[in-house]
Formats: sequence, structure tokens, C-alpha cells
Amino acid sequence: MADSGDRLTGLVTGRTLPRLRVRSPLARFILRRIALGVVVLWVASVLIFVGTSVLPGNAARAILGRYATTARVKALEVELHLNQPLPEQYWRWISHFIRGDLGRSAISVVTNDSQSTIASTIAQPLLNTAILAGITAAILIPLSMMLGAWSAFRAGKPDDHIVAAVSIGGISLPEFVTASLLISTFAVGLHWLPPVALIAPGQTPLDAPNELVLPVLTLLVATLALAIRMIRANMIEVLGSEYVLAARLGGVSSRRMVWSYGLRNALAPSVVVYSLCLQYLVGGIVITETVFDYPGIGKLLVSAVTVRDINTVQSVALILAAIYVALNICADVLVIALVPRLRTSS
Amino acid sequence: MTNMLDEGLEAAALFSEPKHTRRAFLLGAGAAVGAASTARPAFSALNALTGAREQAREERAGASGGTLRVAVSGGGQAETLNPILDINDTASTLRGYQVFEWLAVAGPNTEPELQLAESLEPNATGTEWTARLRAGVEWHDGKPLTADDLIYTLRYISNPKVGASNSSITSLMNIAALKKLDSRTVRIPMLQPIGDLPSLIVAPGWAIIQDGTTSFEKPIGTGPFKFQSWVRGQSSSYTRNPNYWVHGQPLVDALEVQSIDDDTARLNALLGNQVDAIGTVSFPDAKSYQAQGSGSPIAILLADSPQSTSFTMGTAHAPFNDVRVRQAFRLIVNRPQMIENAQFGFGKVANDLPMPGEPYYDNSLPQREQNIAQAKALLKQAGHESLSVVLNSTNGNFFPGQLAAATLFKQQAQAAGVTVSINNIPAGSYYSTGFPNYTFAQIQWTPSTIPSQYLEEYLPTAPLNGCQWRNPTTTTLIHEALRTVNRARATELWAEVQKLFWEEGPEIYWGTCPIIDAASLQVKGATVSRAGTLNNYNFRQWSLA
Repeated sequence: MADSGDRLTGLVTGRTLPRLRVRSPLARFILRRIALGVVVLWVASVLIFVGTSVLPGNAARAILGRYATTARVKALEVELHLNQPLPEQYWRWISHFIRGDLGRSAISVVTNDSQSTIASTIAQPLLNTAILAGITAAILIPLSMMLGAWSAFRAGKPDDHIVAAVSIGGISLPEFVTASLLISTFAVGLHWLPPVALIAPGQTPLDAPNELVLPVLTLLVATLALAIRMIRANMIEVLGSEYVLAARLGGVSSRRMVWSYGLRNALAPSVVVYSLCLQYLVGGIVITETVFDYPGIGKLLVSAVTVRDINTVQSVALILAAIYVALNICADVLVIALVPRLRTSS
Repeated sequence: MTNMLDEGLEAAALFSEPKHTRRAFLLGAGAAVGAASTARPAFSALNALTGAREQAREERAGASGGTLRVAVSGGGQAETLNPILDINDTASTLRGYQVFEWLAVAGPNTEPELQLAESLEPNATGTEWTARLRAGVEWHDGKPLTADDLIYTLRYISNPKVGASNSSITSLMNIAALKKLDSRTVRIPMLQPIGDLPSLIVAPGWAIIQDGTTSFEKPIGTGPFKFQSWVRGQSSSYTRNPNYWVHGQPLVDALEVQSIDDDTARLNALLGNQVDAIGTVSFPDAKSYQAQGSGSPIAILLADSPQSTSFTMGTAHAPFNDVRVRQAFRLIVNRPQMIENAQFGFGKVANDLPMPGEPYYDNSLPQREQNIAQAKALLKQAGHESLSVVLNSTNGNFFPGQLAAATLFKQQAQAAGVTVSINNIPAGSYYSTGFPNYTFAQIQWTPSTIPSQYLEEYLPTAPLNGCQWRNPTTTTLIHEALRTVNRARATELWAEVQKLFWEEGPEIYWGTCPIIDAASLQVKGATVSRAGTLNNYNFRQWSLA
């Protein structure tokens, strides 16, 4: 196992690394996953770069608008290094990125705005999205566990069917439909909550918590349903397994069975589900952010694509990819930690 | 409390204010009144009336205080506080108009109205213009407005490194020879004679900036609101300018501008009372709230406007280099159907000429109507009995109803034996790929004046010449109209220009689209303007109940 790991990294880098004397199989696993993650990110960066480069039309001209003169287009191309060969442009971008220098957005180059860098521009939106995703996750995980376990326990009974119907309904509705329904009911209809997330300059979403309610609800409707279904399925499988049957015959109480046997063993596959939900929350909440005009990273990315601000698109896309990879690694590590058997079987 | 909806309707019905008197002075929208004018444009008379109007305002409803909250669609990270750059989003334009002012702006009926200029007059031949700035105007930092500021501004706009779109107008001026006559007066020598300079400079992108300005991070202007803070792509806040040169204005204490790109989210913000007024309401929403009449929770502000989306026929390409094909295409369009189906009945039919209803527009030409038989005959003569063309359109948010109009045209064209296939280009690439060399495309026109429009579009080297129009006759005629100082004569020349374009021109203007905004019922004094969204971004006399 250690050999194959070293050989793998050797294949990738082209040379053989000294054999790592790491004893713990868990630590070895983590290191291997991180190495693979880096490879994945590298491939992702190439794909992102190629993707933005093949967009039709001249980027400089698109940014300058319909009054662009040939002279200004040429000048902007030089400033944005668009006249250099693609591999050179790629290397320039990625070498700066690794060092944490995300550069300046194409728009700020045009407007001669020397103060704003991409990093400073995306910091707050990233934080806002993290707040939204974090609050949703904090409610999602315990709530889905409880409801999932409860409906597994009551499988086949009417309560279970009700939860199932509501869950499946929730998954099936597209987010903008859910969002619109929530807005028209609670905001426009009842006037209980604000329909749009308007954050004043200098404030964060946490300063206006009632503006978070509807966006969080929308995201919960989409992800909670999925998580409940998965937890329920896992729980039913575990509760039907032989060792649980044996425990039951041996006199273990129902409650203890659910908690110690059922939930713990259903947890590992659920980690994967939660990881998927989190990734979805981070990158896929573009629609929710648009409908509520929430100042998060999804909305920023869409706006950057619309104005053809290539630099921002590339950097933000790569950051999101890095978050996905990190979440995946954490999920895998957590599963291994929960299921000791897997540590030595890989 | 006055019903806001009634006020809005009244405003849209083109009002009973002193503007009518000025319209008579300025010859209004028709060429027919030309005989009544004097030898020179009556700009000094204009000045006197503007002053009187100012006084009337002061005596009107008192200030209400409060914060006016406005939401319009934004430009994300492309938003800017620089009022001079070519701005593509409503939020940035709106912000510019709160802090900055210019020599003259477009009035509610789009004709020029003096603002920071006390007078703006040409010599007899239009080779020199003299701008005299108003006295007693202060910048937000307390310094007085002087001729140096104007000179610096004109130089800044004409600087190729800045890349302002209005440099196409400053390139008509002899910037190197700008002369300061006294602390408030600047003589502007022109490189070619211009008869009506105000018509060329009432557009977004013109703003007087302080002498020496290089950064716009904390913009200083002379306008009714002072900049406080902003977050790019999100929101900005302003406080009332207590030393504004119109005493008593603005009527509110503070202003907040929110950028909300999504139409529905913006409308929801108004319905949820998070903002007091919004720019651009979609057709179906406007229709549904208008239908509710006095039971509507919001007031729809409607302004008949010359803005439109047109079909451009590229005369550098076959088949549109043949005038018969162009005439045939213009006869294919069923204009009332376009208005009804693409614009939900909003707007008016247009006559293949830009900016209907503006000063200099020729109302005497008969309204063109659909005539499929004649269209087919023309196409047959031109040897194109069954023709296939590609129409380049975009699904972008440039113009409501644009793609619908393209689809409708495709259907209407079938009757004449023309097969249209629509090439839907993403908004971000539309102007950066084929423009201005498209064979057949759509283009969007914001409200402008007729001299400005023809200068920017129909001269051979014009920046927006999407039809590749290079006709020596019209070029000569347009130049002559541009340099004629005598208003009556200029009107005649513009009529000749328009007649030529009506007969043989390359563009299909099938209709205009009104400006549709909305405000809460708490807003008072919300008038509308043909020239731009939300009363052409003018909140000086808006107040909150």
C-alpha cells in the first residue's frame, strides 16, 4: 500500500520520492488523497483556463463595450497579456495564483482602478456564501438525521409516507420555484419577511438576520429532502441487517438500537451525502442568490461571466474547485475515521 | 394624500407645466413650426425661462426629509463611479447623475435644458461656442465651480487614454485652443462648424469634474446628492447636498441606490417595501399592475420614449446592398402586430426613422404599413424571389421584447417568401463578435437627439454604423444639417435627410418602447421623462409622504 502510493506519486512527478515512513494508515491515506486532490485541481485549472479562452469574441472588445476603438482594444490586450501564447498566459495565471496573488480583474484594468484586486473583491462575497451555506448546513445535518432516523423507524407507517411525500416534493421543485413560492407567501403576501437580501455597505448578512430566513429555507427545502431520503434508506438497511436482528433477539432496547447500532453505522454513507449537499450549497446556490439578490460568490461569478471579466471568472472557478476537492477529501477522511475496517482495505 | 397612480398617469399624459411654453419656443417636435423661429436658436430665452421655472419650483411643496431608496439593474463588478466612462449599466449611470451635473441635460421631452450653463451660444457661423457657467455653484467640498473645471473636463473627455465614448463629440472641438474668457466663461472653438451643440451633449457620459480630478473613488460633484459610500455591484448611499444651487432641493435627506439585476427580485423589493422606486418593470408585470387601477399596491410610471430596437440591414453585404431588397424588408413588417405581441401593446408604431417625437423629427412623412404584395414584387425585381437570411439577435437583457420581435419578423417574412433563421448570440459576445459588420441584426437605441443619432450612426466612420452605411449624398446632407446655425434651415435640412432615409435607408424601425418604472404609493412628485429611466435619474423633486 505504501509502495503503491509512492509509486503513484512517482508516476505523476516523474521521479521516485523517498519512501515516507508514515506509520498510521490513516495518515498515509490522508496524504495520498491530498496528493490526488492537487492533481485534480491542476487538471481543473487547465480546463477552466481553456474554457474561458475559447469563449467567442474578443475579450478586450467585450469588456470595452460597443464604443471600443481598435487602438484601445489593442492596448487592453497588451495589458491583459491576451496577445501572448496561451500556455504562457496559463503559466502566468497559475504561478501567481499558487502564491496567493489573484491579480486584478479585467474591469479594474480598464477603469484604471488600482485599488481593487480580485482577492479584495471576492473576500466578502465568499464570506457571505459561507454564512449562508454554514447556517443551512448547521440546520440541515441534525434535522435530517432526526427526521431520517425517525422515518426509518416508522417505515411503512403513514407518518413515513407523509415525510416521504413532502421530501420528494421538495427535491422535485426547482429552486426558483421554491424561492418564488416562499417569497410570494411570506414576503409579499404576509409581509413577515423581506423578499430581497439588501445588505448596506459595511454590513454582513449577519447584521440583518431576517433577510437570511427565506434564502436558507429555500436551500433547506432542496437539500433537506435529499438528506432525509438517504439517511432513511441507510438506516433501513442497517436496521434490517443481521447483527441488529441478533441484538434485538438478545434484548437490546429499541432506543439503544437506533442510536448505537443504527445511526452510527448509517453515518458513514451519510457523510458522503452531506458532503455532496455542502458542495451543492457552495457552488450551486447561484439561482437562490440571484432570486434573493444575495451578495454571494455565485452571483459574483455570474456577473463576472456576463461582463466577460475573465480574470475573475478563472480565479473564482478555481477557488470553488478547491473547496469542492477539500470537502471531498474531508468526507473521505471522515468515512475512514468512522469505519476502521476501511483503513486497511484500500 | 394624492393618489400616486393618478399623478403618474398625469405625468405620462404630458403634463401641464411651464414646459409647454418652452416647447413652443424651441419649435417642439415638428418641422412645420420652423417658420416662426428667429435667426438664432433661442438659448438665451431658454435661460430666462429656466430661471423662472426654478423659482416656481422653490415655492412648491416643502421638503419631506427621509431616505429615498431606489433599485435599478446593476453591472456587477463593471460598475463605476466615473461618470464619463462608457457606462453600460443603469446603476452606474444613475449614480453619476446624483453627484455630477453638466452644461445641459435632456429635459422631460428630451430637448436640451440648461443645467450648469447659464448660457451656451454659438457665433453666427457655428465655428465657436461660448459657455458661461452659472454663478454661485459650489462643489461638494466647498470650492466654487469655475471655467477651469470645464476646461479640464473637456480635455479629460477627449483624452484617448480615458476612452470616453463622448470623445466622438469632443473630437469636433478644438480642445487645444479652449480659451478661458473669465472665471466663468469658456470659448470653445470648433474644428467643424456645429449649429446645435446642446443637442449633441445631452446624454449620459457628460459631467463636469473638478479641475485636476484623477480618481473617482470619492466623487466630488455639484449635484443634489453627496456621495457617502458604496459597495461595487451592490449598493451606494448619498446624503442631501445642503448647498445645492437650487434652493430647497433635493426634497429628501438621503438617497440609497441598490443594484438588483433580476427583474423579479427588484419588483419584489418594491412590493416588500424594501425600496421606494425601481427602474424597468417588465411588460407583463406593468400590464398586470396597470390593470388593477386604483387597487394597485404600486404606481406604474410610464413615459412614452423614443427608445427602440431596430433591425439593421448591412449594406456592405448582399442582398442588402440592393435598395429594392431593403425597401421590401421594410414592407414585410406588420408593425401593429410587433407592438402588440413583442411589447404587450406598449409603445408606438415607428416609421423607419430614429427618434420619433424628438425636435427635428419629420412628422410629415406618411406612416409605412405592411404591404406583402409590394414586398414580393420588389424582391422579384431584385432577383430574390425566395431569399434566406440569418438574423443575428441576442437573448441578453439589452431590450425587452427584442427576441420576440425577431421571432415575429421571421413569421411575417414567410409570407413574402423570405426564410429567416435566427442566430441567438449570448449577450456578452454580441457587440464583440460581429458588430458592426453583421449582415442582418438587431440593435438597441436609447433615447437620444436627432443630430446625435445621425452623427453616431449614419456617417461612414460613425462608431455605431451597424448598417455599414456610406452614402455620399446623405453624408453631405447630414454634415450640412449639423453645421447650420439657423434653426429653421436646420430643420429643413434634417427633413431632407430623413426623407432620404425613409425612402432608401438601411434600418427597420418598427416601433418605440416606453420607459416603464414603478414607485411605492408613498412617493410624491414622481414625474417621468422621455429621456431616461426614473425621470432621467432626476430625484430633486421627489419626496416621501
